Amino acid sequence: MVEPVDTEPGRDDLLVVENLQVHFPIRKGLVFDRTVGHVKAVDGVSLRVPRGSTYGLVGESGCGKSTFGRAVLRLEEPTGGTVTLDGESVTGLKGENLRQARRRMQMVFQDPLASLDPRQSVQSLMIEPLRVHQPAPHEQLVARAAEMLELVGMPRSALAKYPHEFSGGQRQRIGIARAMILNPELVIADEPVSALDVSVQAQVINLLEKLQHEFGLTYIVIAHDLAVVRHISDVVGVMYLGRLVEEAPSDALYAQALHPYTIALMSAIPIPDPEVEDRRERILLRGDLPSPANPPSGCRFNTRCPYRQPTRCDTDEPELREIEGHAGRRVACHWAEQILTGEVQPADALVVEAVAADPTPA
Amino acid sequence: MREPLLEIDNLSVTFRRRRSVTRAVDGVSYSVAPGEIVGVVGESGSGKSVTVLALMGLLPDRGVEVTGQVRYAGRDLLSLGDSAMAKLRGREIAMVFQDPISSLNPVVPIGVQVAEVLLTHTRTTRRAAMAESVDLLRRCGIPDPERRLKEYPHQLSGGMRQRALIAMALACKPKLLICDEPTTALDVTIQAQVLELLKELVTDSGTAMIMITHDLGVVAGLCDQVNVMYSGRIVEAAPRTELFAHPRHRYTHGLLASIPRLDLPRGEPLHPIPGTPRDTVAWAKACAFAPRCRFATDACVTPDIALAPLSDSPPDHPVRCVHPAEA
Repeated sequence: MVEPVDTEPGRDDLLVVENLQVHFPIRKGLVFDRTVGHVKAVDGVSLRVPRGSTYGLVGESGCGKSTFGRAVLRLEEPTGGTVTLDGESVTGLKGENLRQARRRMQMVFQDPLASLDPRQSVQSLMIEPLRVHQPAPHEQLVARAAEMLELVGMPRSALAKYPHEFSGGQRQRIGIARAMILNPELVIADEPVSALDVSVQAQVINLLEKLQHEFGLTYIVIAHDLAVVRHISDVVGVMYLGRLVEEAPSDALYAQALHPYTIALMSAIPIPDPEVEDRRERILLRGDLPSPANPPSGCRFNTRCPYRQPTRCDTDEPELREIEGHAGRRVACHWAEQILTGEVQPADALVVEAVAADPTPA
Repeated sequence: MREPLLEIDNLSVTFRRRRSVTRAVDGVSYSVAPGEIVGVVGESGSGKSVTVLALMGLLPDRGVEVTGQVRYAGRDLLSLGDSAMAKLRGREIAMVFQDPISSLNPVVPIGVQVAEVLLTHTRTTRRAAMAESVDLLRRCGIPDPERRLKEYPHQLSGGMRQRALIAMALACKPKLLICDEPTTALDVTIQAQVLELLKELVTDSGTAMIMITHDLGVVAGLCDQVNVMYSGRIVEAAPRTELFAHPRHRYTHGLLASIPRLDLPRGEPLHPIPGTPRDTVAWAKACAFAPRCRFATDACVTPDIALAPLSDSPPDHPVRCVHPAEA
């Protein structure tokens, strides 16, 4: 297992993100193009990803997880903060240097049908990144493309076909092969399996794991499905309204979530086992995600939090901090210790199927 | 066992195009009783949605052939005329679709859309219908319904839209509610809210419900009876505890082994099902799952393998498999 995020010496972090912010201006008016506010899609996220490990980022739609991934790759210009890849700042790069850095960081997108040009053959799609970054005679490029396809479990004959001729799972394999062909160090996979059929998802998950093993890749996997993320990640970060609310090694997270949002999120995920489902306590959240243009004051989760307390929650913004007895984990909640000891309980109305004797599911 | 409200009996749906003939649903039978939730699980193309579209009379007339019987409260739905069916739809049988944004009218406020259902099916005034729709929206968990009433679908969040759609479906207190992937487009915390709402509804008013989903987790927590569909046929059916404790069909078994589970220790590799749902053969020739099945043998190349209880499975647990998994 990978050591959790901390600033201990001897750590080999491939990616270090400090206080990353991405704000989108909201514009209004026809004549005077005024900026009336900002959507703070990512608002101060810091994390470190050790070389060769997988960092999973989960959260619901609109929490800023995809924007975070895009900003790390500079597909979205960060408003503030720094991204450092292998000791070199990515945020300050321009022109040729940025182009060079892009070779080392690649992305796998959610919907391969949308991210692969329908009018390009697979061969053309596969050798395009090579032509840009590692020009060589055509035959060599084609050979490399065929080799890469084989690695992701596709036949050589696929080269002559077009994206629409494949099933969703095969297209995602092509998308992955295309991202890997430049031999990147960091791969950001944004919802890599959520568009696929259930029986095909495991194939792609296993493929990602195999490639990581073979090439020593470092992954950031962004997804809304906590079960998938936990399966492939060493460390999981949970985002809410543009911020990390909790970060923990994958094994520790399910055993004991510390942040109220993580607790609610995990209790909401259906588990394909009736016996577990019947015994489980489910914590329902009130309402919807507030607008990231106008996040609640204090803790951003306080409007929906079942553990909300009369003080601090709506006034002080909690820091992402370590708490005693849980080294290597970070949580952004004022009351994390009290929730852990049971001093602070969730509001009764929001807990369903409660089993008094044993609140932790087996 | 209560008397079933709806009985689907040997329903088949065939799509005919100029040259191709596709049998999307192939002899499907299941039934739902009042207060019961029946789950239908399957991947895209398994025919789970087409089955209910056929019984609701929502498939186009041209190029579609529907055979079999669907008995609803003593009547055969498939032989009902359009106007008789239109009277049942919305009033007695309601449906909730996956994608609320394409099911709602974008240029009509949601309050009016809910009231419209009442105005169409019941004798009521506009004013009373609007008042009722406030009540419905509130019951479906929409905060501040008086204000929301006047809003258009685009002004609502995904979860709110789905609630509005559920409110429309519930407007006439239907006896049968068909939900087609009602929570697939929603975030998990919102999904939990919506599922809780649906569960309450069935317990409180004894509505019969068909729940169509690809998510085995949703089925495990919600449904009384589960039908697993593959390539147009039911391959396994059982009460939920029995199904999850003893999945017998190799497809069900494989599906459960291929999804990561949140509650189990990490580190176990997943066991994917090879191939894709497209790799199939006609049931008339062999088991449609055989091309993807690790356990397939020549014995699987048998036409029309029966859906029947196995020698060592309970009578209410039929399986369509030549080489079933161990109990």
